[in-house]
Amino acid sequence: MTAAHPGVPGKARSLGRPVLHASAVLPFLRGRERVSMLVGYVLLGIVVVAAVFAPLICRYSPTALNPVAALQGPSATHFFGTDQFGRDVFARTVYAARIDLIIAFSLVGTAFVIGTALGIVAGWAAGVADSVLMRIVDVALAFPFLVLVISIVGLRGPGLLSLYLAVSIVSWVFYARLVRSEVRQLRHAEYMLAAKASDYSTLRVLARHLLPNVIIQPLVYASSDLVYALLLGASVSYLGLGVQPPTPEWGQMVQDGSTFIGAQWWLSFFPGAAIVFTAVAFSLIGDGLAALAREGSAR
Amino acid sequence: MRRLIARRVAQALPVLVGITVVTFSMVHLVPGNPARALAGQRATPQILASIRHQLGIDKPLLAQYWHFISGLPRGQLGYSFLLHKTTDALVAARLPTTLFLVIYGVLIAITLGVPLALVSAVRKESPLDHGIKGTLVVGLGLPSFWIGLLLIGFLALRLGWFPAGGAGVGFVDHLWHLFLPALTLALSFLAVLVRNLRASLIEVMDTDFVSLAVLKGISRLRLYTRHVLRNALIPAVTIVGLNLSYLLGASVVVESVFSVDGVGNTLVNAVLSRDYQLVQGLALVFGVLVLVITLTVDIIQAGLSPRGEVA
Amino acid sequence: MTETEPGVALQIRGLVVTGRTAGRTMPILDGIDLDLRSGEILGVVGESGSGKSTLCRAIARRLPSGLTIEAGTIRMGSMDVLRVRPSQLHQMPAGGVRMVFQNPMTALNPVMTVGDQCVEAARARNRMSRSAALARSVEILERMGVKNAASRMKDYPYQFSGGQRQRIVISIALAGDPAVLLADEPTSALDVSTQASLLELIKEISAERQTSVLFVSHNYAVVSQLCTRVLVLYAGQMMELGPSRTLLAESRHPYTSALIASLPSIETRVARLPAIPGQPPAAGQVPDGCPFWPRCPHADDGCDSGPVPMREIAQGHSTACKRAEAIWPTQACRADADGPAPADGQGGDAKFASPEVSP
Repeated sequence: MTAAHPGVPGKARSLGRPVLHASAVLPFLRGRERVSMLVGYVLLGIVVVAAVFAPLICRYSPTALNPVAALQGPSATHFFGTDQFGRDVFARTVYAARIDLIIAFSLVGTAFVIGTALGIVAGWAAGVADSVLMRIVDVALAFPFLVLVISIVGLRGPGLLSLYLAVSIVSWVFYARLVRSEVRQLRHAEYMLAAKASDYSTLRVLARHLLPNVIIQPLVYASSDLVYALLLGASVSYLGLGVQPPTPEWGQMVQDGSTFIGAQWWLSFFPGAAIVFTAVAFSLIGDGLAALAREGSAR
Repeated sequence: MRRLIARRVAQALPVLVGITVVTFSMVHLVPGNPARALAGQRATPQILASIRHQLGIDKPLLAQYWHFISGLPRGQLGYSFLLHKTTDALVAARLPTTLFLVIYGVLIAITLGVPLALVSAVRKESPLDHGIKGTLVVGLGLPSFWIGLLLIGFLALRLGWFPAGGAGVGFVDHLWHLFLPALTLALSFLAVLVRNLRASLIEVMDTDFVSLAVLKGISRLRLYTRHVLRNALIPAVTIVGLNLSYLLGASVVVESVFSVDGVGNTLVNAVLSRDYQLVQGLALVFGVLVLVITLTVDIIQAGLSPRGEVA
Repeated sequence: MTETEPGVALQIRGLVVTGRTAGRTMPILDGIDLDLRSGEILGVVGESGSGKSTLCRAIARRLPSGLTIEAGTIRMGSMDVLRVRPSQLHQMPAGGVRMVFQNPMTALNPVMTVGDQCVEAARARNRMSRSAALARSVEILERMGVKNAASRMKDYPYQFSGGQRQRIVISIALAGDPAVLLADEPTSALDVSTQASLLELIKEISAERQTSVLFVSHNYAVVSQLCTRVLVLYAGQMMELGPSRTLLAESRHPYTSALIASLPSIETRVARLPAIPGQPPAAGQVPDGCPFWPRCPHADDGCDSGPVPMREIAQGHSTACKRAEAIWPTQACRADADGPAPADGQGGDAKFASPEVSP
């Protein structure tokens, strides 16, 4: 979803089997890298658990208005303080995790699926299909992603659906490009030619041999893309174009609290900190996956 | 060199056409009746018809497209119904501010980022390096609007060192007003810059020619400036170039947070007030801007490498 | 011993260099002991992965990231190269170490003019004005065979051919008047005639300035032409060390003989070039005992365990092969040996004719 990722170099692989498998999620990494990836999982775990068990964790409801207790600072009862309507900021922050996590995962998920599919088609079929796809990619990349999203969302009308639509129109491009170049590299690998020469149907060849190998890079990319998707969703909501009130969402909460930033800083601080917390979790996991992919292909 | 420029420009043309197609079709995404949306619920059919005519949407699609692109070379980007100005007038007035902000931000990012990357690369695997790398992980996740707000709250409102918004008038005033926004922009970009620059520095430090230079016995300062940095900066320019698109997008949010009167903030307001033609025109401007800047960066990069060609 | 013996420019004892990949540490160089004498040209031969390049880099303190010096000493004069700070090593007023690299394309800073790079080398050594340094550089470059040096000082490295670049690199190396010149396969990337002239050049420099040269190569033919003594490395360990003529005629290690046997000769025609079957072991998979035993036609019990230290079997000739006496049963290495030829039918000096052949 962004060109702002530290590049993950693609490597031609000589293996005929997938390098990343479930049991290998932690083993290959050295001490320090393993620890940081573990930390990432733990942090993410905290966020997910908090989101899932929100009603059990929060003493107050995220939408209960309580004007008497408005604008109180963090305390033993209201961990993150209260906002201008007396709502408990902690409860709102925790409940908002649900929305933000869903947004991040679904944005990346859609882009991943569409992009990988189109990338495989373009890379495998080559020719006209490939050229057309690459031109579309060039045009899509010509706009700042946020500008495109804002424009589309704005024109369709604000809301979560518009956000999904706007993002899915463009975000698949990064995955398609990545997958396409992987496919092109692997098309001519020996085991691919061997599989093609056999009686297997094209679909089977693609699914069993091509897919496991080309999927690694986009997976790694996706893990760091989660960070960007999270920030994108929050930014668009901050501008008022995403999630609409009263559904709590971190970006929107930061916006709500912006008028109070001078004295009652906690309204905007904690939701933003939650974003950073979750983003760090995604980053650590993503870095770990990238290191794994590197180690794997080095064997 | 001239051939290179010609080739890059030729490659950019189809993209330019694509940009116009995309921005043109954007307006047709609007659900329902754009004329009604502008005119309101109580407009009479005549008013609606006249607005439709003004918007040009009563003509067939292809004719509309033609009308759209034929106006472009003459600078006709549409009209803002709410601000009562032509888009190009607005852009002319506000684009300089945005460009100032972005350049200012990039300069701050480079000033902060190059020393950080250098220290991190030279002292690889040291506690300092790990500290920096850890900070970068956090930095990647910082939402620009949050950082901006916190800076306002602390440095502007509490300490009063900087103004809380606006862009000021005049160069020096711009420097003062736009410092916090530029800093925010820089911080949102810093993590990516340092990460990539560090990697490229490490790569350069392992090369034979650096070994040759080290063995000469020259001073460390000379080594780092003339040999290491010079070669590592070429990829750094690439990074900045690649991220230009991202930077322009981030500037939209930053302008909104700080109420800076640039094209980004104008876009946001246009979107919020359903000023469709303005949105369309601005999207086009952004697209073309990225294209032009990317082209320029490409050419600068080619110029930096003595061979005149990017490998 | 805190000082090298007189006449010894570089003294290496027990050098061990290890590398880390995928969480495991493995030796790249395992126990190197070597004396490099003043003014001598010592060749280091081995296949890829034998550790020969690493040896140069370890001495120059320019190991790539991931490799560390675990143990050993490298003495120059009274200084232990490995124990001083790199800057002290490189800023020594006289003597010191310089290096010539394998790839002429990457050996020079691409964004700096050749003139600037030469001047920098000259001025780092002595205080001199820029113009004096420039004049001196032009002089050295011309001497090294770079024609029209004066007019080319403003050119960038990409404007020179590979051979010329290597000459520039050698000039830069010599500007520091080094006691030791490390040459890491300097001619491998060049064509035959350029190779020949560069080798001549190195010979002259060494004789003229009494510079010791450690010449690393995978090409035995080149090494035996140029070098007085040769060290054969395999899997990071020393196999044989001795005068180059002796090794050619009467090597006492199966690996050395196999290397020499695989060189084509103008004199004899063979149906197939004898190649050594198998592959050298990867860094983490060096077998116990003699590292060559899996591929050795003479391997026997006892070859696959225990250390294989170098031992002297004749004046100035050492080998690590435990079975040297068994394999070559006649009087070991006397110049007038006229006993039966060793089992693998080695011939005399007509073994190699063209320098471009490599084992």
